[in-house]
Amino acid sequence: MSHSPAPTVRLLWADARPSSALQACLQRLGVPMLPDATADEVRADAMPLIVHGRGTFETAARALRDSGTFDALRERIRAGMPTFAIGSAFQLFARASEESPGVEGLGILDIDLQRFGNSLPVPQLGWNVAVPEREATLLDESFAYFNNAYAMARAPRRWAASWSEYDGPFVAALECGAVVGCQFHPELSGGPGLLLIHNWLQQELVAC
Amino acid sequence: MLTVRIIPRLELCSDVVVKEASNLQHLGADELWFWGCHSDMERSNLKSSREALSVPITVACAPRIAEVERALDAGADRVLVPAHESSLIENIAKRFGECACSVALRTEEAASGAMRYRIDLERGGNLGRDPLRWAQQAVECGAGEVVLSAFDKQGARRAPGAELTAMVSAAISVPLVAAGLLAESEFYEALGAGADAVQSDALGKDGACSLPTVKRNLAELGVQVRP
Repeated sequence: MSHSPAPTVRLLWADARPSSALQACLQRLGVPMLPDATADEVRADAMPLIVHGRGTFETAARALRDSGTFDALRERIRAGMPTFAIGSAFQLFARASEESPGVEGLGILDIDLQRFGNSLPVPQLGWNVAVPEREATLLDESFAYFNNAYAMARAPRRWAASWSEYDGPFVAALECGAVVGCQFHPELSGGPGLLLIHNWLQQELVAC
Repeated sequence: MLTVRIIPRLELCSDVVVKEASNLQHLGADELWFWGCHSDMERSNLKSSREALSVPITVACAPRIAEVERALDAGADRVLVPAHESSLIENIAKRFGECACSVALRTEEAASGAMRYRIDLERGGNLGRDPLRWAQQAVECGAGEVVLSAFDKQGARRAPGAELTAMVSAAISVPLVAAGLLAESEFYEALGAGADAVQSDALGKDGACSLPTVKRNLAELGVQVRP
């Protein structure tokens, strides 16, 4: 990893509590952080934003609604502003999830999340290989840490996907310009996870 | 393809726990388990470990929601609570998701030779119930992982064994960790019987097993491991 000065990032928690693992990860990368982004900052601030969730689809949606950032995040992502979503925050890109019937996602993607089948233990807990498509530029093929029971079985058009296999292929990560979504947890994925966040931030530096 | 997980365990009361945890991560630990998150010093060690580690952390908690919250706030990604704590398991799963909740299925060998669920090590009590039923009930309540351990008739820790591991694995729909393994041969037995992960105290600094050697040997046997 190069040592170009990292841009400051804003943090948004799609969760009842902050992720100390993500904060530690960013600290390791030397990234200054501004926690608890407001709706206005989420909507309009060009500073890179990381939104993190590790609960259910419903708790992630509720956390964003409670902080008033739900609609702002949808607008931000649709505008292509630099955004990195992790775990259940990434799942909210979908319209809905089998996990939380009746709960609306951001609807960025015309996709619903489905529970893994019964042939393997669910949830998936542990290290799986994420394999990027040729168009995906930020992630190298590497092991990543997953803890999910629900996933996207297909990728949307115009997004570059990385794939993993668990009872069939599922989307491990998506990239579209400055927007990245990760089903796995880069902050818990050792060196490759750090590298992914680093690459995204460096891309933002070049873009600026 | 998902790899098996090889998991060391450390005590948070140790002065050198952060250093040991970092070393184990460097050697290839797929996640780390911590015991004894009770005092301010132990929670401080957990926070320091979180800052130093970029792999998942599971913490064994006292079975109270306030303790679960404190452990998660201090850096745990998942908590481990007893399998019979049904309402607590439901609460954790609802608030933090099933992936945040592992349950401990402690078993002991009864005089008859059958394995029964063990609820209280210190007093030697048990709930007199088939461990499989407790495991299934915990999963129904929202547990995302079952951690199976075993004790012999004298109360000494032993490996769960292939038969019990296979029975529990077949009875549940979530990942199974075979815990408290003491020797490398027990890892192969547990994984062959259906465990998705193995936990051992013997992987620590003074333990009998070397993490890189275990992983290399498993890979040579065709088991998927993270390098």
